[in-house]
Amino acid sequence: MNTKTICIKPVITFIGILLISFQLYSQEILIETESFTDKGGWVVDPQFVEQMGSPYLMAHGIGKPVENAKTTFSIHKKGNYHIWVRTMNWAPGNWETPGKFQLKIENNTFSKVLGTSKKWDWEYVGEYEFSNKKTSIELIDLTGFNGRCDAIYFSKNKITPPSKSIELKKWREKLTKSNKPPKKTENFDLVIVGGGIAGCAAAISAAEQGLNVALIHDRPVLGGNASGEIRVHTEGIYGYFERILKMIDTDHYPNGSSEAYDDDDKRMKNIKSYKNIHLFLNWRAYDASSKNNLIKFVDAKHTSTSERIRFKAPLFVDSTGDGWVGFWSNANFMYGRESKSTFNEGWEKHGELWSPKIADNFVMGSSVLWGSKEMEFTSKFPQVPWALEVAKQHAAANGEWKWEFSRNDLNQIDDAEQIRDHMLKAIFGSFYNEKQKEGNEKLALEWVSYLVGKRESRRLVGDYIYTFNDVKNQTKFEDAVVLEKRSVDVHYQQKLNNPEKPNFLSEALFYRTTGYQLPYRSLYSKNINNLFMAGRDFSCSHIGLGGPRVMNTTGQMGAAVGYAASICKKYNTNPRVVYENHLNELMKLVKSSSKQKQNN
Amino acid sequence: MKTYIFKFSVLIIIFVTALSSFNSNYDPNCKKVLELPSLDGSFTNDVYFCKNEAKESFFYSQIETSVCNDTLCRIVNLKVYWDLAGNFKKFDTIPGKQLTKNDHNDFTSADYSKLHKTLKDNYAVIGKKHVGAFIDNKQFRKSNKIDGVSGATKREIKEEVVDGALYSTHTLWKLINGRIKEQIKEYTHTNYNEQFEQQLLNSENGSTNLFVLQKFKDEDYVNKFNLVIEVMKRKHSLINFYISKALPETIFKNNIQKQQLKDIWSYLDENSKSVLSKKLN
Repeated sequence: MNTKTICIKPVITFIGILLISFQLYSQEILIETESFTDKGGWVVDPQFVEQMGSPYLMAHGIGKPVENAKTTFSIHKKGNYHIWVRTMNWAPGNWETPGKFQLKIENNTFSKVLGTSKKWDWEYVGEYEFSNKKTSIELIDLTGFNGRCDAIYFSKNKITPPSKSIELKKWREKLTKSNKPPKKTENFDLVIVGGGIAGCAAAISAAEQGLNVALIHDRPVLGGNASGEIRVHTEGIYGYFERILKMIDTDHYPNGSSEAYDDDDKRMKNIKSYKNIHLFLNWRAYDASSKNNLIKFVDAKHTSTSERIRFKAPLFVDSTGDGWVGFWSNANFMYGRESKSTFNEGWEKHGELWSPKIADNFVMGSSVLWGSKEMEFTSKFPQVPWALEVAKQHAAANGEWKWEFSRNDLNQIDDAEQIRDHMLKAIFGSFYNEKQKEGNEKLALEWVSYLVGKRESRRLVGDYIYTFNDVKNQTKFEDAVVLEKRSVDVHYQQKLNNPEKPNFLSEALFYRTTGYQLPYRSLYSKNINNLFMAGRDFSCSHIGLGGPRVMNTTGQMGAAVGYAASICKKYNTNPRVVYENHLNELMKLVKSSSKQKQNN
Repeated sequence: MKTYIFKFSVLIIIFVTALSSFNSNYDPNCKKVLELPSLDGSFTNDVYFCKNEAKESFFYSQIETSVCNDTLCRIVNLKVYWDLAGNFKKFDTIPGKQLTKNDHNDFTSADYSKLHKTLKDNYAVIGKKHVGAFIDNKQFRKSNKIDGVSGATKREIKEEVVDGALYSTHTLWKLINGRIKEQIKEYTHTNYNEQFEQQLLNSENGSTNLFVLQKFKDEDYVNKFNLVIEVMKRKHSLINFYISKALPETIFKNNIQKQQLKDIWSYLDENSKSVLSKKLN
């Protein structure tokens, strides 16, 4: 082999790769369904991005097929294309697939029924000859029972895209050119991730102190578990923050009530009244980076357009519930039920149900609320054999907080989709059984949430870990920024104690108390120096979470860290130093919260 | 005449009470070990421990308690039995002192079964709150009888409460599943022996099994593994989950014992399986 050949070979190879890349680019198209311009009756579900790779469209029609989702797109090169959709049969078994749908391109509906894969995977649809560069595509729901479609892929080559999550992620990033940092960067004084009650409260208190705040939330409405999408009423006392919390809380309606919508409006109006709260609705944070124990930025992606922004700030608040910002930035965290000896939290009366002798992952579960109502006319509800697998003989017309699911082997984050789907089966099956009763001919499902209302998952570790002993001993803290009177309320699955019960119902154990305090030191990370946490991911033990996990209490946490952030800015320092050197100032601010006025 | 009948009735009551007291102490295998005061403190009931070599040892008390609403009280009598772990086993009615409902009708056999089921449930909802919390004020109807608010009993405990006997059910549950349980446990703990252990493990009640399992050390699981397997076959999720976590490594190094666990796989719940799968593999 001569020198010339040696020099030319890599050049040819490079050109070859370039050509193939160009050809691939021009001959394959990936459409993320969440970007459909007209979603019809399909909903965007962004809850499980970290597990299955993307937001997706879901036909949540509670038993009635939903309207088609539609969009248009351009083909770079006309001709014949192979088509795949990424989907999943969420209730596989010896019955008709519950979530079936079809694909329509222009005026042609493909006969292939989709939604049958036992796990998230690509299903081959068929071939299509594109004669126009601009064309339309539709998803046709056939059942109304939660058929789901993540993406549609067109290629001139019949090569199925990768299935495994790591390869798929790389493939997807390459195709959508999202493997590089976001082009857009925005700078703030404080970045709050999670627009539940805690995140909203943090945004208000910080904004009132003049901070320029970004509030990033992955849903179209604020409120998290309190929103009209999940409908859990806020509980707990207001502590020092009555004025702020009344701007964002709810009435004490029955859980699942549509009255939640009124409070959504109130909350949104109040948050929007602050000019220095920059609201990023439908933006889901997907990464954070830390260096020398400091978070540098949080990256977020729009749940429909896939547009990305890098958020930079000297301070961050993790109000995600699942502790995502802490997780991405390597903050210390805990998950599961600690052994009773870990924090000496045993309670003989309730033994293993309260705090186990040996640690496990049997945390409090997630709920999906739902309800039905009497209609004017007889209504039908289809057979749901796939749901009776879970519901069995149980019959019900609505579901409150006790509709909750947890299992030792299911992680409330990693397995959240399975948990949600289990609850959907429980709901549809139980309602079907109820419908079979005489006199229920006019009963119809009114509303079923498709968002899981979580109680417990990651808890980030702070300078102080709040435990049951602080409630029992009524520990007095010099940095008591949160006050509560609510019982410690820890849930367990009913079936654990009674084999006759369904596995989707829970029960509560109460430790009654006259009141307790939570310290500021449990609201910032022990090892990430610019990270606050407010919400159920604050620093506590499993039992320590039992009381303060409700939303007025987590709202108090948010309001407190918003004030602390303003002191951090004033002295150009971090959350810990606020405790060490500026505690009096923080407590003064906290205690005067109700007397302060909105300054915009 | 009326006075005569009254005096005669009082004599009969004293005679019957004395006879029943005599009966309580008649069994030479039984001895008084504890006292159980009624919730309002008006009555103090003796609690007996009965040791039986051939059969099961147990505790019992002939309970006399007042059942009160805001304005009225009545007396309820029942003979109650607990096992060695302080868990309610059963009750017997006392002749002539049948339980009645708000309408003065006697409990039916179905009512007794329902009451038995509720009293046996350590985590019955009725035991969690003050009785007033179970009355739906929207539907409240006045009555001049105890348990007269039955029609207004909240839906959440309809499954647990005999219709027309809310106050009785609540009082009995609190009394039977209250502090006495801990006292019985303490007595058993102090007098613990091999026979007790065997009996506790053989019980069909998971909470009773747990009482002894919590005393187990690693070597107990190894040496009494066959008994442990029998407990697991009773399909009590909480107990099997506890055992699955507690089984020492030694068990998983022994192929015979590993196989025993695999053989009872169908008896286990998902939580227990999740723990054992990791250890077995």
